[in-house]
Amino acid sequence: MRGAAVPGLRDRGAPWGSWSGRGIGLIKMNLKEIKELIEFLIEKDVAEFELERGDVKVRVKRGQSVLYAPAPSPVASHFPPASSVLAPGAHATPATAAGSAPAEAAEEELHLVKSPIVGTYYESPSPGSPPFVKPGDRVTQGQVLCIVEAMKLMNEIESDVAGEVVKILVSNGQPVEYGQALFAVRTR
Amino acid sequence: MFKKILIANRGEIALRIICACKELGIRTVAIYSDADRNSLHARFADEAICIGPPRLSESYLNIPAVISAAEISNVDAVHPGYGLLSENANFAEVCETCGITFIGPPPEIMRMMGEKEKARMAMKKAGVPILPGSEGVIASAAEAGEWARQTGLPVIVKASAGGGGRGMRIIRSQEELPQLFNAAQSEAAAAFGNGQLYMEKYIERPRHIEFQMLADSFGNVVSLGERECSIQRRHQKLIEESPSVKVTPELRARIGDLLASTLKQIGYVNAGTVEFLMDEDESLSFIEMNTRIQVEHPVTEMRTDVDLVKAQILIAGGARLSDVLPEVIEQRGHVLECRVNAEHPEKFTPSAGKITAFHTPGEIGVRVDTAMYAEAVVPPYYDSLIAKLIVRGKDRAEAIARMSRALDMFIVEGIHTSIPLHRRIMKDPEFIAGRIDTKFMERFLAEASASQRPPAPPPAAPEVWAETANALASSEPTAASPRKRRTGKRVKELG
Repeated sequence: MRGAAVPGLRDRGAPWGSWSGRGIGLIKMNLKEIKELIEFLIEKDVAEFELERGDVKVRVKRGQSVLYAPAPSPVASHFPPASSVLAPGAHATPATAAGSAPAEAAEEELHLVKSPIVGTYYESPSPGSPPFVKPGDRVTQGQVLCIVEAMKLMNEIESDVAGEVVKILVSNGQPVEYGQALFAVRTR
Repeated sequence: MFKKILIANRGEIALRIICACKELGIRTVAIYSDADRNSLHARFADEAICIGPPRLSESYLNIPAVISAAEISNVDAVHPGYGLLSENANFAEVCETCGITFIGPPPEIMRMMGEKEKARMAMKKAGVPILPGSEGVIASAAEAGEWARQTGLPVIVKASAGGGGRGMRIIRSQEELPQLFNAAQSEAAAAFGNGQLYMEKYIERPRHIEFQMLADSFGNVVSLGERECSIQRRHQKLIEESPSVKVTPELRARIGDLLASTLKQIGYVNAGTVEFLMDEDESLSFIEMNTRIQVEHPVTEMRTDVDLVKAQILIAGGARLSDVLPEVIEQRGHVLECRVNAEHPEKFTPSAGKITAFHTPGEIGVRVDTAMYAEAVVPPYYDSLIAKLIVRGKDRAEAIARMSRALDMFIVEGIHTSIPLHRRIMKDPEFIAGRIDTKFMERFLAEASASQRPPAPPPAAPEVWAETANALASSEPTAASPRKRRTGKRVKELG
C-alpha cells in the first residue's frame, strides 16, 4: 500500500525475541534490530510503523507525509470502464468524467462550477437567444450561468463564486451528470 | 426487443440485471451516486451516469434525477430491481408518461397490491385463503370475544392508528381477553390518540411460504413453485430455501393453479411473489404480494433453471410465456440461499468500510451473486446486503453440507459479515431437521447468548498486522498466501 499508514501494531505477542534469536518473551531491542526494522520497512515501502511490547515502544515514520487517500479502485485499472454517456465517442470513465476538466483547471487553481443535477446543459435561456455567459465575462455569486434541463424542467444553475469565467467545459445540448464540471472560474 | 435499458438500482441486483441484458444483447445504462463511483454495476454497464450525492433521497430515490438520466441516455426501458422505486406506482407512471417502458406490472395493479386491505379483499374474492381479520374496528371486549370465538384462538388485537407493537396484544384464552383488550385500547389511545383496535387470527409458529409467479401481457400466468423464508430476524429474511419441507407436490400444484387463475383475473403482468403464512396444521393464509423481482429470486432460478430477470425483460418487451419458458417447468433438487450482510454476526450492528480480502466459493452447485470485490468500500448509506450465496444439492442434506462447505470457503476480511452466523445455523439440529418457523431466530439467538459463547473474532485486518510482525521477525519477505492467514494463531502461541 504505497503511501498508506500501516495501522499501529499493538502488543500481539510480536516475536521480537526471535528476531534477535534470543527466544520468546524478550522485551529489549538493540540498535541493530531497529536498523534492520527500518531497512525492512523501506524495502516493503511502509511509511509509518508503530510497535509496543512491554515497556518498549518503537515508532518509525518515514520522510514522506502520511496520507491515507483511498487508492483508486483496482477495478478501474483492470477492467475497461463504462463509457460515459456524456462524451459520445470519447472514453471518459465514470470516475474521471467529472475529473478531466480539473486536470487543466488545477494548473491555475480555477474554481469549478459543477452541475447539481443530471440533465441536459443549455447555454442560453431559450433557443436562439444569446448565451448567459461567455469566456472572459465577470460573474457574481448567485448569477445564473446556464440551464440544466431535467424532465422538461429548466433549472437555472447559479454560480457559487464571484470571478471571471475562464472556460466553458461543456457544449450546448450536451447531457451532463451530477457533479460534472461546467465552468472554470478564476476567483481572484 | 429493447435496445437499451436503464437499471434504476445499485449493488448486486443492478449487476444481476446487467448480466441478463448483456446476454440478451441489450445495452445497459447504470446510475450511481457519489458513494458508488467505484461500484461494479457502474463499471460493467455500457454507460454510467452519476445522478446525485450518496443519500438515497437525493440519488436512487430521486425520481427526477433517475428519469433525467433515462432521458439523456435515450433508453427504451427501465428495470427497477427490488426495493427503491420498484413498487412505486408513481415512478412507473412517470416512466410511461415519458415513453419509457417500466419493467413490471401496470401501475394500477402495483397500487392495489400495495394497499394491504385491497390486496386481501382481491385475493379473498378469488378464493385465495387469507389470514382471518376483523373487517373493521372492534368496538368492545364483548365483540372481541365473539369474533375470537368464531375465528378460533389465538388472536391478536392491533391498533388501527399505528404500529410498532403498541396497542398490540396476543390473546390466547377467553378468560384473559377482556383485560388484554382493554389494556391494548388504553395503550393505543395513549400512543396514537386513538384507541381503535382491529383483530387478526394469530399463528404462534408460522412458516413463511411464498410462491413465485410469472405472467405475460396476454393473460398467461404460471407458478414456478414456492420458497420458504422462515429464517428471519426482525422481519428481515436471512435464509431461504426451495422446496419447503412442508409443501407437498399436491399443495404446490393446487396453490400454484389457484394463484395463476387469480392473477389472470386481476390482470397481473410480469414477475411477482405471493406471500403466505403456514399454520401448524399446514394451512396457508395470504398475507401480501410483492409486485417485483425479489432478493431471493436465485433460489427459484437454481431450482427451475429459469432465468427470471431475462423473463421479466422479455415479457416487458411483449414476449409470450410460451416463448420464454419451457413447456414443463422442472423442479430440481434442493436449493438454499444465505444472505451475506455487512454486519456483526452476533450484535447485528452494521459494518461499513473497506473490504481487504474477498474470495467467493464456487465449484459444483454453488452460485454467488455479489457486487463486492477486494478493495471495495461498503458505504454506510445503503442496506447491508453484500452477497447472496446460493447452493443446490440433490436433497436438503446435501444442500446443507454444500452450504456449510461454501460458507467455510467464503472469505471476507476488513468488515464483519453474517457468514459466521450462517455457519452456526447450518449446524443447528432444529434447522437440519427442518423444524423451522419465523420464531426460529429468536430461539436460536436466545440459546446462543444463554450458552455464552466467546465473542466473534474481530475482522481479519489484525491478522494482517500479525503477519507483518511475523515477517519482520523472520526478516524475509512474506509471500501472501492463504495458509499464512494462520499466522494469527502462531503469533499468539509465541506470545
